Amino acid sequence: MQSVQNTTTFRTAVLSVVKHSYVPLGVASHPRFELVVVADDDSQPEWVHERNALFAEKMGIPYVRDVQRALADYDVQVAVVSSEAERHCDLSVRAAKAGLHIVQDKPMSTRLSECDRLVEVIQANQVKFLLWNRNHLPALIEARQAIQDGAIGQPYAIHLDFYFSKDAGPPKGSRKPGDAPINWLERQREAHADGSDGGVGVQAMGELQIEGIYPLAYLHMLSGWEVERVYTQTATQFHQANVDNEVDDLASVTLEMKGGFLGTLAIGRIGAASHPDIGEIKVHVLGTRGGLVISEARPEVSVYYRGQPAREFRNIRVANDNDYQLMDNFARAIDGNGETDLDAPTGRTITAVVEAAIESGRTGKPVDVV
Amino acid sequence: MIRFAVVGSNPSAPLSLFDPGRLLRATCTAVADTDLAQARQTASALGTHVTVASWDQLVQQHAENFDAVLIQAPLGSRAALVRQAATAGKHVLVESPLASTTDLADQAIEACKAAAVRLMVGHEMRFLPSNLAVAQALKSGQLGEPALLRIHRWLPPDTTAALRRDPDSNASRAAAIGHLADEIDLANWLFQGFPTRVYAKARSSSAIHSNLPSSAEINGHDYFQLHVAYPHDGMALIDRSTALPAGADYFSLSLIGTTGAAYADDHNNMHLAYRGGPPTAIRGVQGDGHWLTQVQEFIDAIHEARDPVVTGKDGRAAVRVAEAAIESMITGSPVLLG
Repeated sequence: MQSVQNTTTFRTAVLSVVKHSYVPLGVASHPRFELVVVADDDSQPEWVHERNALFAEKMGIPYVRDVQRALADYDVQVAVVSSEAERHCDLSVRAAKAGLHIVQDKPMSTRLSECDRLVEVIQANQVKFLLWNRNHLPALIEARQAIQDGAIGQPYAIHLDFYFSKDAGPPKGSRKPGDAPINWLERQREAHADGSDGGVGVQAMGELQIEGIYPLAYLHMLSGWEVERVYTQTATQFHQANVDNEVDDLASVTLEMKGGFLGTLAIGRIGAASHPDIGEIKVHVLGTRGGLVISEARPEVSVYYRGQPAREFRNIRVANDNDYQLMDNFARAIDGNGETDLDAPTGRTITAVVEAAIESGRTGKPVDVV
Repeated sequence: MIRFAVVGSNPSAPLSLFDPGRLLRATCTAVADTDLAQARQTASALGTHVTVASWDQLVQQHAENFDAVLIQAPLGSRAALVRQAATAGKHVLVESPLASTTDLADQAIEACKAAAVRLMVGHEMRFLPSNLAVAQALKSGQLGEPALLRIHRWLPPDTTAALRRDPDSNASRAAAIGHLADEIDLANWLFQGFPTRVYAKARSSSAIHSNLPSSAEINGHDYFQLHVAYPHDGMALIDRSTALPAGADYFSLSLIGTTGAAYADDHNNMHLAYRGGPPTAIRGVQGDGHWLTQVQEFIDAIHEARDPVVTGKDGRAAVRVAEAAIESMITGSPVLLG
């Protein structure tokens, strides 16, 4: 007998969509979520309104330059937040206070105090929160299954490689004498066209801060281990924008977990020339009965052809159901079936690991995660 | 023609794993091992019939019959053998690591320098075809400056040479140095420099749920991970396990450079076999040619009166960094070098 499936549709407000549109589009990939309005604060700069309005037009829904009014007028139950990173938590807090469940883009915030504030409000208002992640990519699902099936025994070490091979503006060393340093926000705005604006915002962020959520979410998903202490090296090796704004574009982290489990993270935005596709993203797990090596990209199909643009990916990921699965998990959580795959306390914990890692990179000493 | 003797003849030991028929301008003239049956087996494989039971016998009875020596003795006696070979005027290729301490390494290096003989340390990972390809890409400038090196090396316990030949020191610092030296040398070589700092952790794979690993000793640990800093913001992550089940090992090296990257990963070199159930991976092997390349480099360096590509100084550097890594494991703090 088939189980009765809840088909309630959640009316969803998009609270700012200045970064990637993939998060609201990912939300809309699930039939239970309907985007009904885009909203942002009227006080935002014009480029923000332009992007919001463009997305609203594309989706055929209204754009309201007043968040509170939109939440009140459009009978929404869910908010999806994809603003600049420094505004993430504030928009999510306002949504939570209005009783909305929230899907939020990464990183959770540029400040741990903001994460704490959001965790508190989420709990107080009994709403669900999902921090966007890649945990439902096929390779990760298979890795988790293999570990759960005991394929390698009890894991004791995990190593994560997360290299994005995108460029991020002019290469390091390209600034001429007398040239002004690259303005972070302006650079990110320019990068919107090719999707390399993951760090959009006024506050400059390194790769640890922008992308660290993804591999650390893998760690959480695959092991459930709690990171207690980190030791980090950071560098700016590739991009002038990172040099000018003193944020890393390459980092290596030793992860020390509760229970004596160990691991490492290698992360960077290493330049488009460094990989034929999006980048080398791998997970290595050692267990008491063997080891597991996973490529996040697989399964994929290779396509080569005459006249192929140099920067076009040669390998195309297939069978990627991440968006739908994330939202299905979110819908089930709203229905009352447990927590989301990456809830607010976990997102806060990951942010704390990233903060500790950045501090360790700055001081050259191991740092406890708080 | 360089005539060489082999000291320590375990047929599966690193310096015996080459095809003598392919070696140019060199011939094996004697094999010394306390296990004479094993010595005879190795001697036969290397095309000689001369076997003796010790270094002393080798020097006393056959000193005029060899110019160089390949030493693959247990780590505890390795440096002393290097010194004795140098004193006898023989060029030396010694299995890695060069010694169990930097002091012993220094003594071995000094002896070779005083005797004006060549000293090469058998850090064989440099000669693996995939690693040579990465090094070549780096040397050619394609990758720019080395920025982040990642090495995974996972082995089953019975293929761990250092432990196999040092059963009594299984849990000792020396054994740990034996575990770490090859990968450290590989990193030093690719960065063309000496580290500035190392942070390291170790644990026993079987001690799940126990409070590890910054204990006051490193006995019984079969898993190590190193975090090594190099000049100009270079960094290396190395993890090494000797706890895989019996069977194949796994090796992966990726080098992120400032203008490119190279990925030498067993994961990318797998064949598949279908025999019912899930397919089985069969690794595309690189063969044993790197052993020959290594010995040939030693022979060529003698002929050409030049330093070999892996010098005693390189061997000493690997030991020094391994010592620092062990210190870091014990203290729980990064150790500054250089």
